[in-house]
Amino acid sequence: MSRFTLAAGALCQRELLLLWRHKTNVLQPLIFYLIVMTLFPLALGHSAKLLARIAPGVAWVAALLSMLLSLENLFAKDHQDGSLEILLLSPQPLPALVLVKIFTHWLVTGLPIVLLTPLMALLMGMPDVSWHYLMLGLLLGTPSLSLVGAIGSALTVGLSSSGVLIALLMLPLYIPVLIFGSGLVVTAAAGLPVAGILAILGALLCLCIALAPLACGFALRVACQ
Amino acid sequence: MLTVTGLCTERDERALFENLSFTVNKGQLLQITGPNGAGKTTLLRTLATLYQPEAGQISFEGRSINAGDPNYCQSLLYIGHQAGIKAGLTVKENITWLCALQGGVPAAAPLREGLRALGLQDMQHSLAGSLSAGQKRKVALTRLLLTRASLWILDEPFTALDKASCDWLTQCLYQHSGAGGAVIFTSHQALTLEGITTLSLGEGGHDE
Repeated sequence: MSRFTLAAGALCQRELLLLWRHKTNVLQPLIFYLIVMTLFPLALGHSAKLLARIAPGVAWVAALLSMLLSLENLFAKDHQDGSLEILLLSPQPLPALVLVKIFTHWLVTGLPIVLLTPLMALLMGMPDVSWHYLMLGLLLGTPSLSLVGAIGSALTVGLSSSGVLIALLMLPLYIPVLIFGSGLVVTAAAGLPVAGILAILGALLCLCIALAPLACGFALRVACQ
Repeated sequence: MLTVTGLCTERDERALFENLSFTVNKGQLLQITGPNGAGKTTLLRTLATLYQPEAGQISFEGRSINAGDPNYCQSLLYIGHQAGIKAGLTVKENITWLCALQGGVPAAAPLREGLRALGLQDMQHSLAGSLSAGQKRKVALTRLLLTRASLWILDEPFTALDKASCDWLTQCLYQHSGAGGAVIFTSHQALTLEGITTLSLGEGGHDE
């Protein structure tokens, strides 16, 4: 096993262990998502048609906000206890380690949202084709949200209450994912070809995977100055 | 091993040291001394490439180094004020993770020995968050036993340690320098150690 896989595996394991031992931090954003999604059917009453039409948009907005909520702690704890410095001084490439960290973060915040889609479809009365594409869109889009949000988290790592600032910094960058993500469902429901939109979501994800870890690494080095 | 030439650093627009030059050779123990605020930690962090110096050059084994230089990071062990111990992990998990990041698996024998020497053998499975400050520092210091790094940079390693552990650490530093390694550390304690070079900061009129 190469040194990098050893380090990456250990980091992944450490992150999951810590998240498991501080479950509330993980559950809060997820519960927020569930609350928003259950309140909409209650508030809009018995208009099933309206509900089904707005469901994809609501799901995307709720997912986006819930992921924003969870980002504040991504690097802040490591900064407080000094393990960020250890990451910076590791012989392994920093962007790769950051990518591992973001991936584990997505596993516990993004993936559950993707997996909850069938339940949400039931709540909102979405037709099958809609929720299939909603799930696919979320699967392609939520990793991008994690990656972009991580840049905001890295930039604000030294600040005491960074939640709102991350939102202000990163929301403009979230908008393309939001537009194409909810557009995908609308297009699919109308029976139009969706390959183009899927390709754009995929391209956005590739771009984020390539650039976000580099930007995060740079921001973290500056934050430790 | 490590050569520093013309190093200038400022914090909050106040020059901490200017034109600082020194060399650390293989087998040398260098103690940085100086009053609070003289820039000891800043100097150590600069040497560890965590801070960018205003001017000057740091070279390691003849090559100038930048932040994140993998070769330098491989040869460097830095333990700062915040030792990077995760409160939510057990002692053993902390040590395993720290070793893996440096690219190794902790060898069982030296780990067991070190934990016994530091009185941590019964705490391997307790959460680091429940340990005292001194015990946490000891967990961080077990890295010294498990690393192959040749240059150690230790910020106040003796802080919060009891007498026996101080002796153990001193022994550890001597062993490392005897094996051809170098140590740069800061300490406020009046150490009666032989063969240590000292570098005093804050005597050039930089104090406010």
